[in-house]
Amino acid sequence: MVNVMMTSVLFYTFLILALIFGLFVALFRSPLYSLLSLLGLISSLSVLFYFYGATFLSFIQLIVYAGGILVLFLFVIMLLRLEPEERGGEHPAFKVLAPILFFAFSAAGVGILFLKKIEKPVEGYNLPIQEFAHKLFTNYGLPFEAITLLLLASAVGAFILAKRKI
Amino acid sequence: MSLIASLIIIFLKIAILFGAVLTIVALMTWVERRGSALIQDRLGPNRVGPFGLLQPVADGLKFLFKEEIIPLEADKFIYLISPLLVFVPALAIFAVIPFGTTFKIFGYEIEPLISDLNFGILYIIALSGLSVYGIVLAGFSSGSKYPLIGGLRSAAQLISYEIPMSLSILSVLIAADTFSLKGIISVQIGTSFSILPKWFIFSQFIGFFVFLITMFAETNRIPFDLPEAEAELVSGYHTEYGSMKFALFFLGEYAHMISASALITVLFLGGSDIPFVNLSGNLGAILGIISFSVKVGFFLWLFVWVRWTLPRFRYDQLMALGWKFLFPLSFLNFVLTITFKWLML
Repeated sequence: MVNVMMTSVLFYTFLILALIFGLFVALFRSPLYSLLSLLGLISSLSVLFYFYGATFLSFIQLIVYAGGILVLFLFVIMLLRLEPEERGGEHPAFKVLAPILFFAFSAAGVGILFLKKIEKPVEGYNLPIQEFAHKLFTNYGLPFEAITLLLLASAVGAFILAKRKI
Repeated sequence: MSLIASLIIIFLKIAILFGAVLTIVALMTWVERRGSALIQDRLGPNRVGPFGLLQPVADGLKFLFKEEIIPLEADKFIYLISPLLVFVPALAIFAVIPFGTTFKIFGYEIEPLISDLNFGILYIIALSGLSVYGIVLAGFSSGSKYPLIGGLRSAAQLISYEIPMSLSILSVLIAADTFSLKGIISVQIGTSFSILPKWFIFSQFIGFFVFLITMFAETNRIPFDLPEAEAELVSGYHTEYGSMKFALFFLGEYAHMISASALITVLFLGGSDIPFVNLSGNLGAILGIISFSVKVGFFLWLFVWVRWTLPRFRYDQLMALGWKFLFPLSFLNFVLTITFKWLML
C-alpha cells in the first residue's frame, strides 16, 4: 500500500516538475539557463518513462539526450559565448501571433487533458530487454534501419556543411 | 519481512555505504600523499596522528573554516550547484554495485547491494554521462579564462573517451548475456579449463585494457588530467572555487575513483568471487566482501601509482589516443566478441 502511494506521489511530482521545467525552457532569456531547464525536463521525463515500465527507454533517454545531445548544445553555447537575448528586435507580426499561438496550444493541451485523463503507471509492468530487442529487430526492423540511415545521412550532411572545402 | 524492517535495512545499507565511501575517500587523500612521498623518496605528512592518519580530518576542518568567496564575474546559481553536480553522480553510482553475496544477520537475509536494477549497466553509463555537466558548468560559470578552457577540455575528453568505454562494456554485456551487474558477476564464477578463473579479464583482455585506460580519462587523473593541468591552467575548472565547494570537487573526484575501481572489479575481476574457493553462508559472504575490497584497493593504489609515475599527455596526443587507437581497438574487440559468441551458438 505504502509502496503504491509513494509511487503515485513521485509520479505526480515529476509530472509537475516536467511541466515547470518545460515552461522554464521557453521563459529564460539566457540560453544557458534554458539548457539547464531542458536538462531538468529530460530527466523528469525519463523518470516518468521509468514509472510507466519503459525502463530501457528511460535510461536511453538519459544517455542519449542528457549525456550526448545536451552536452553538444552546451558546447555550442560556450564556444559562441551566446549572451542573453535582447528585447525589442522581433518582427511586429510575432507580437500578435505569439500570444495567439500560445493560447491556442495551451487550450488544446488542456482540452486533451480533460478528454483523456492521465493514466497512472501500472504496477509491476516491465518489459524485459530480450523481448524489447526481439520486437525491435523483427516487428520494427525496417523503421529501425530507416532511422539509422537517416541519422547517418544527417551526420554526413553536417560534416559537409561544417567543412565547405573538400 | 515487515515493511518497517525492510525500510530500516535499506536506510542502514545506504548509511553504511555512504560512511564507507567517505571514509575511503578520506583515507585515499592520505594514501595519495604518503604514496607520492614513498615514490619520490620523501616522508609526506606524518605529524597529525599516527603515521599522519588524521591529516584528512585536519584538512576537512580547514576547509570548513575557510571563508566563502564567490567571484564577482561568476554566475552565482550555476557556480554554487556545479560542485553538487560532480559529487552526486559519483556517489549515486554505488547504488547498483553488488559488494558481495547474501548473508544472514538476526534472521534477516541481507544483500550487500542497495538496488538490484535489471539495467544496472545502463544506469552507470547514464550517470557517468551526467557527471560531465558539473565540470563543464563549473568552468563556464566561474567567469574566468582558465576554468573555461579547463571545462571545454574536460567536455571534449569525457565525450571522446565515453565511446571506447561503452564499447568495451558492450563486449562484456554480450559475453555475459545480461544487463544486471549481479548477473555479470554470477557468469564469472568458476574456472575454465580448470586453471583460469572465468573472470572477463582473461577472455576480454582487450576490453579490460581499454576500459582501464578510459577510467583514468573519465576520472580526470594523470596521465589524462588535461582539464586541471596545473602547469597550463592554474588548476582548471576549479580554479575559482574555495573552501567546502572545492572540497566537494575533491571528494567527487576520489568517489569517482572508487566507483571506477569497483566497476572494473565487477566487470572484469568477478566482483566478490574468490577463485578455487567455494564457500557459502556467512563465512563465504564475509570473505567475498574482503576479496572485493582487496581488488578495489589494488586498483585504487594503481590510480595513485600511475599518477606519480607517468607524465601528462599533450592535448592532441590525448585526442589521437582516444580516437585513433582506443576506439578502433575497442571496436575490434566488440566485433571479435560478437563473432566468437556467434560461433559458440
